[in-house]
Amino acid sequence: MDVMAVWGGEELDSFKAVYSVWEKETGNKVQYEGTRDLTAVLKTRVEGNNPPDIAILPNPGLAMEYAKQGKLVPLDGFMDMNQLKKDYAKAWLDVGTYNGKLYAIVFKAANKGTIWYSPKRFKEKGYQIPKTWDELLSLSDKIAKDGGVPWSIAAESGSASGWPLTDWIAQIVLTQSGPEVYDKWVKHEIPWTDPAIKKAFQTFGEIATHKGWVLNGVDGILATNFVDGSYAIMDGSAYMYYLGDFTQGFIAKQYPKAVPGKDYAFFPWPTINPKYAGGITGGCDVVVMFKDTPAARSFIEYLASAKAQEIWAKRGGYTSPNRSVPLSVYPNDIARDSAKMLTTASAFRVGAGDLMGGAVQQAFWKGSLEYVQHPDKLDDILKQIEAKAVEQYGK
Amino acid sequence: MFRKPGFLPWLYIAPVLTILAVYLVYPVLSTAYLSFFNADSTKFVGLENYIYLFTHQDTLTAFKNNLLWLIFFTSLTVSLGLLIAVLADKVRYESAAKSVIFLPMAISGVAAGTIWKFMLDFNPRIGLLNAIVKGIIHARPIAWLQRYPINTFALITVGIWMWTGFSMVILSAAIKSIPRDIMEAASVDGATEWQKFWHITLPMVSTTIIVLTTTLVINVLKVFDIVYVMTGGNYGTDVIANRMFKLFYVESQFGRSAAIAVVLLLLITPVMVVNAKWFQK
Repeated sequence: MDVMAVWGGEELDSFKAVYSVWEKETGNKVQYEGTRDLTAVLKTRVEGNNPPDIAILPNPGLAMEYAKQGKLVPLDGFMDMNQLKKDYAKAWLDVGTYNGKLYAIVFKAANKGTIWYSPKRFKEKGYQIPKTWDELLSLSDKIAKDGGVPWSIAAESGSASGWPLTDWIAQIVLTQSGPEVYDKWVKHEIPWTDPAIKKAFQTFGEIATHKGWVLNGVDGILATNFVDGSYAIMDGSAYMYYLGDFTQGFIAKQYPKAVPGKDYAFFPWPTINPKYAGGITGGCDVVVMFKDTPAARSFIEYLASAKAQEIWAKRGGYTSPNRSVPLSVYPNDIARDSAKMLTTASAFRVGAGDLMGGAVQQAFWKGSLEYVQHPDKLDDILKQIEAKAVEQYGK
Repeated sequence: MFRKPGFLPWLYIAPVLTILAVYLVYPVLSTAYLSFFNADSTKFVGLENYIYLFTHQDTLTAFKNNLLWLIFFTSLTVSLGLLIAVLADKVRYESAAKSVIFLPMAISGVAAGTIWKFMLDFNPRIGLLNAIVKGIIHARPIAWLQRYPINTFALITVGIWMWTGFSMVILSAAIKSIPRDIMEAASVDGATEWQKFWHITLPMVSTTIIVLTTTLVINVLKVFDIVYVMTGGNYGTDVIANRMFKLFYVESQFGRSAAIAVVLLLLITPVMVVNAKWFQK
């Protein structure tokens, strides 16, 4: 049975742990195909009438595109809807619903309101955790004046390079301009050239383009892989790293002896506008079915269950959207805190890029890469993204 | 006494012609047809796709880069191949030298791209070049693949690394087919190595050089794997073939990607004609 997803390295090891249990129980074999260029590779197969049985997409927007094209098998026909309603809050089920039918299950959630740092180093230098954006800027300034590098920012990710930067911008839009503006932005009810979006880019630039604040400057941002970027807070080359809670998995694998909570931890995204404090963006990987086979049905039911998700939750670097997974299975306080943050957020939104269609998301990624190189060209960059959006949405 | 051929020969080659028609001619015509339609091939839009290609920065950058590849890749691959072929001819360890130079041809473009991606990595602990820059020259690491225009030239260098062996082998065969008496007669007459090269070797391999050059030109217009693997076409390194890929698979613009395919075909065809004509000689 064919499964396609973006996972490699440490994330793949965890996914293997999850599906090997299913393989043992059912006697089926999982044929896994992983690629960061999932958008293109999946499309090739779907167009060629040879889709994988199951695909796990980091982009719910893309999943809904396939639902619209009629390529997905509706899940409410055979899955136990009562169990699903018990396990998942309505917001999570809505993410995978198109035209009233359920096509996708959220398998893995990510809290993207986490800024990673080393509590040990902070204590040594007497740095306080910032609660507001202004405090964050003063802290960055203080670190720089003390001779350190405040930030590690890493955008490299093969064909998907730029997505870590768009995470920043989406989080800023949510906490600076609020959930309503965010929703309008995602649905393209306001243009990319809207002052709120421009302001978000510029706010991001306050840190990203500030001379001396980012490890290795613009080159560092463009050339460093998002996994490697997290190691900076561990070896002291930088003090803070913004990326989703799955970062914990990267750090734990590279530094197995590190103590979570002491050597590394996260603090929540600071408040920009007090009216929208506590809003967090997140990621979700959704599972969809292209071919209706008994093996595929069994697999998707397994993935939706608390049992499967507990396996990955125990290993760390994973947050489950399933409320039947008890908080106690998370390996440490950091993972627990992140899961709790996710369920108690004042407003939760799926990361903007992931809700947009393929073409617009690519334009957003490329635009963010362009922005850190040429912040003065922001208006042109926004116009270009807007042009792509108009093409895609037709208005 | 010969009869006129009649239609029997046609019968013999009919199967091959049919296969060619189905797998070669039909796709070309179909693509050309689709290039006049919109993104999901439902509405006729005339030349709109072609106009898009020639007015948008993305594709113009790609065309410009293919031009750079055309000039630098072709000239350097042919010259280096020629230089190595001539020099190798004069030493005793010729086979060993030629084998080493030819080795990169044994791997795929994807493999070459991956190897060099690691070599050019920004992190000095991974990238060999930056390890040298930082450790020996004591300068700041260079973002070879992210900084324009150095990145396109880095990619072109990888291409040259791959194809010089091919160029060398072809030219070496051509050089060895030059009759030795001519070279000896020239030495007797007092010609220097350089004069021998310029006035004898070069003119006698000129046909081969033309065929080789046109083959490389056709190759370079289609270059895809090196660019896709190393930079994904980002940071100003995009090429036509990669644009076609992106337009089709990521942006779902069937009309536009078909248009690019047609443009590529039109660019390559004259080169192929030249290649075929000179190959006869």
